[in-house]
Amino acid sequence: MVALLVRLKLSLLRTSLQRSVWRTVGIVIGAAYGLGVAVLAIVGQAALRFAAPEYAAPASVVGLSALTLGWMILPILTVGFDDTIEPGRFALLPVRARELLPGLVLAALIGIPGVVTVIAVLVGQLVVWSVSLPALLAALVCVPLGLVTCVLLSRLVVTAAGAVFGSRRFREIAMVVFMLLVSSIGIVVNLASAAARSVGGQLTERLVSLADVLGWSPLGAAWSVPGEVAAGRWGSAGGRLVVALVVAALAARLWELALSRALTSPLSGSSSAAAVASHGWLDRVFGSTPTGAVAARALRYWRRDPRYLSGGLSALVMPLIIGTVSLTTSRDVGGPGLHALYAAPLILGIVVSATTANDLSYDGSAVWTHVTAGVSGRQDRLGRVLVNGVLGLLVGLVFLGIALGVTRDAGPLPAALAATLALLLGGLAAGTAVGAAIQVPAVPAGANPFRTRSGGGAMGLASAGLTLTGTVVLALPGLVLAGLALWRMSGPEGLWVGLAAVLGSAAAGCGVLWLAIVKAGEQLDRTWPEVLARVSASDE
Amino acid sequence: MTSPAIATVGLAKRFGDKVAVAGLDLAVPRGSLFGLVGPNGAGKTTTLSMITGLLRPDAGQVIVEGHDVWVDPPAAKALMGVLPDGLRLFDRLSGRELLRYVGLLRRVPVADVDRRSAELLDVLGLAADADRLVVDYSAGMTKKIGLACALIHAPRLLLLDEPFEAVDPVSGETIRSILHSFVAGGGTVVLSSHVMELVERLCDHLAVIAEGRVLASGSVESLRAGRPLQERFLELLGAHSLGEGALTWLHSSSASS
Repeated sequence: MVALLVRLKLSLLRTSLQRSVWRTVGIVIGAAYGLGVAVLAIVGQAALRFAAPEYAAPASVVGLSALTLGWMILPILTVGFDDTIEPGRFALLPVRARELLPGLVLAALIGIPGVVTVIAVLVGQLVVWSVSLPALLAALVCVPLGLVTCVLLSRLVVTAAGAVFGSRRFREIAMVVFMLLVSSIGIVVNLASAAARSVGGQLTERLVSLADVLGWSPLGAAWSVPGEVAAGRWGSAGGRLVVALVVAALAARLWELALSRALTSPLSGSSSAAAVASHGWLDRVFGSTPTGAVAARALRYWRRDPRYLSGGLSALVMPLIIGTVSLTTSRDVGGPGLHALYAAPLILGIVVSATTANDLSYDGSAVWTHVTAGVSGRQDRLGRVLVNGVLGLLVGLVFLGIALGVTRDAGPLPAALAATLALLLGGLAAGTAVGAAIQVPAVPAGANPFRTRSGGGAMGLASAGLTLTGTVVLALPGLVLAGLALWRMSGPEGLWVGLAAVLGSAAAGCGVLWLAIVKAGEQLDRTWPEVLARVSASDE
Repeated sequence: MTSPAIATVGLAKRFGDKVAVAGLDLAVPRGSLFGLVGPNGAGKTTTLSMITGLLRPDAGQVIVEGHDVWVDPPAAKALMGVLPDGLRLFDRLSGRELLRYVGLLRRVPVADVDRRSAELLDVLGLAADADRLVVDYSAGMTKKIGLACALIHAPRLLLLDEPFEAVDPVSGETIRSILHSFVAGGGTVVLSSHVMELVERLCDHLAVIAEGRVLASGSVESLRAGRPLQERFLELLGAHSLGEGALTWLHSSSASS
C-alpha cells in the first residue's frame, strides 16, 4: 500500500510536469529555489557545528520547531493550493485508514517542500550531531521521528481546517477560536522573551531558554533529544523522547480517525435548504454596469466563500500579534511599546495583494461566464480591485483608529497612513497584474481541501513570490514618502510633510494601480480562453 | 435559404498527441434546431467550445451571423447564449443573483433583468429555490439555471451542451417547448447529445460527429431515409456488439472468484 501511494504521487507529479511548459518552468524554478534553501540550511547547520558548537543544540531546536510550525500553518494560509492526495478518493476501495496512513505520510513528503525539508534537516542534523556516536545514533532515530511528526501535525491541521471551513455553521466559531489562538501566540512570544530577559538579556541566553521551553513542547521534543544525549543528560533525553513519541502517536491516531471519517463520508459540503440573505442594497450601491456587477459578486464571495475568509483571517494575524505584544510590553522603557500598533495595518497590503492575485484561480471554470458574456478584461480587473481595495482600506482605517485611540498620539498617523496606502495600492496593482498572468488550479469552494491539485504548488509559489515582490517594489515611492513623514514628524513642519506624504502616496499608488488594471485588462482580453483552460484544469 | 447562422471551416484542435477535432466543417441553417450527435469523445464539447469562444482553435474559422468569433469575439459573443457542460457556475450566488449577474454582465437593463429572471425562474420551476445558493442545487436544477443564464439576454443563437442531461421528464418537456418557441421566434439552436431518440424527436437538422469529423450532416428527414435514426447512427459509426463469451466472469452464477 505504501509503495502504491508513493507511485501514485509520483505519477501525479509526472503528469503535472507534462501538462504545460509553464507549469514545468514553475516547478523547475521552485525546485532550484528549494535546492538553494536546502544547501543554505545545510551549510548553516555545518557552520554552527564547527564555529559555535555550544549553540548548535538550542539553535537546532528553535529553528526546527519553527519549521514544524511552518508545516502546520502554511497549508491553512494556502487553502486551495494543497497538492496532497485526497483520501476521499479511496472511499470506494476496500481499504482501512490505518493501511493508508503510512503511505499518505510518505506521499506528503514527495514534492518540492517535502524533499527540501527532508534533505536539509536530515543531512544538516547528521552533520551537527556527528560530535559523538550516541548523539549521532539519537539523531538517526529522532530526526525521522521529527519529520514524520511534522507531516502528521500538518495533515491534522488541514483535516481539522477542512472540517471547520466545510460547514458554514462552524465558520464563525472557528474564526473566534483562531483569533484567540493567534493572540495567544503573541502573548507566549512575549512571555518567553520576558522570561529570557529576566535571566540576563543576552540574545544567546534567550535562545537557550526558548529552546528549553520548546524542547518539551510538541513542536520541538523530537528535535531536542540528540542535543541532550550529546550533553550526557540521559534522563532529560529520555523524557523528551517520550514526549516526542506520545505527540507522534497522538497525531497519528487523531489523523487516522479523521481519515476513516473521510473514507466513510467522502461527499463534502453540507447541502442546505435555507435561503441566503441577498442584501439587495449591494446591487444598488454598485450600480448595474458590468464592473459594478463584478464588484457586487466579489463582495458576496468574501462572505460566502471560505477561501476568502481564510485569506482575510491571515490579514488579522499580524496585527493581533503586534497588538498583544505591544500592549503587554508598554510598561517597558525604551521599546517601541504602544506605537508599534501603527505598524499593524502595513500587512494588509500584502494580504490584499495575495487575494487579488488568486481571484481568477478561486473562480475556477466559472470564469467561462465572463468569457462568453464578453466581459472586458478591464471591467473584470476593476470590479475585483474595487472590492478588495475598499475592504482593505476600511480595515486599515479601523486599525489606525485603534492605534490612535490607544496611543493618544497623532504624530505617526500621517506616516502610517501614507505607508498603508502605498502598500495597499501597490498590492492591488501587483495582485491584479499577477492574477491576470498566472492562474493556478484551486480547490473549489467548500470542497474538501484534501482534493488533489498536483503541480499547482510550484506555480502557486511563483505567483505568491511575484506578487509579494511586486507589492513592495510598487509601494516604494509611497513608502519613501512615509519614511520622510516619520523623520520630520516632530518638527514644526511635521503636519504639512505628513499631509503631503499621504497625498503623494495616494496619487502615486492610484496611478500605478490604474496602469496595472489597464495592462492586466488588455492581457486578459487577449488570453481569456487560455485563462479558462488554466483555471479549469482542476475540474476534469 | 440564406447564409448559415453558424459556419465552421476546417476547425481543428489537438490536446497534446490527441486530436480532438480534425478539420470540421459545419453549416447550421438559420432558424434550425440543430442536433450535434456522436459517441463519447467525438469532439462535440470541443467543437461547441470553439464556436462559443471558450477554446482557441489550432486552425480554422468560425463565423456566427457574419462575425468571425476569433477575430471579433465581442460581436459574436453578444449574439450567443451558451450552456457549457462540465464547467462550474458562480455557485456561491443564489439562483436569482446568478441570473442578475449574467444579465448585468451582458448589459441587459436592470428592469428587463428583473422581469425576465422572475419569468424564467417561474417557467423552469426554480421559483421556490430562487434564493438558495446554486451550489446546493441538484444536477438537474443546475442545468436549468444554466439554461436560464443562457437565455437572459434574449440571444439570437443558443448553444447548449447536453441540455437534457440529469433533467427530469417534466422539466425536459418545458425545455423542449422553450426551444421550439425560441426557434419559432426566429432564433437558432445548436445542441449536443448522445441520446439519438431525443435528437430525432426534437431537432430538424443534425450532424453526426465522430473522431473530430462530420460523418453526415443535413435535415433529419434526409439522414433518416425512412429508417429509425438510431440504426443509421450505428451504421455510420460502425457499431460493435459484445462477442460470444465476453465478460462471462461478470455473471454471479459463474462462481469463479
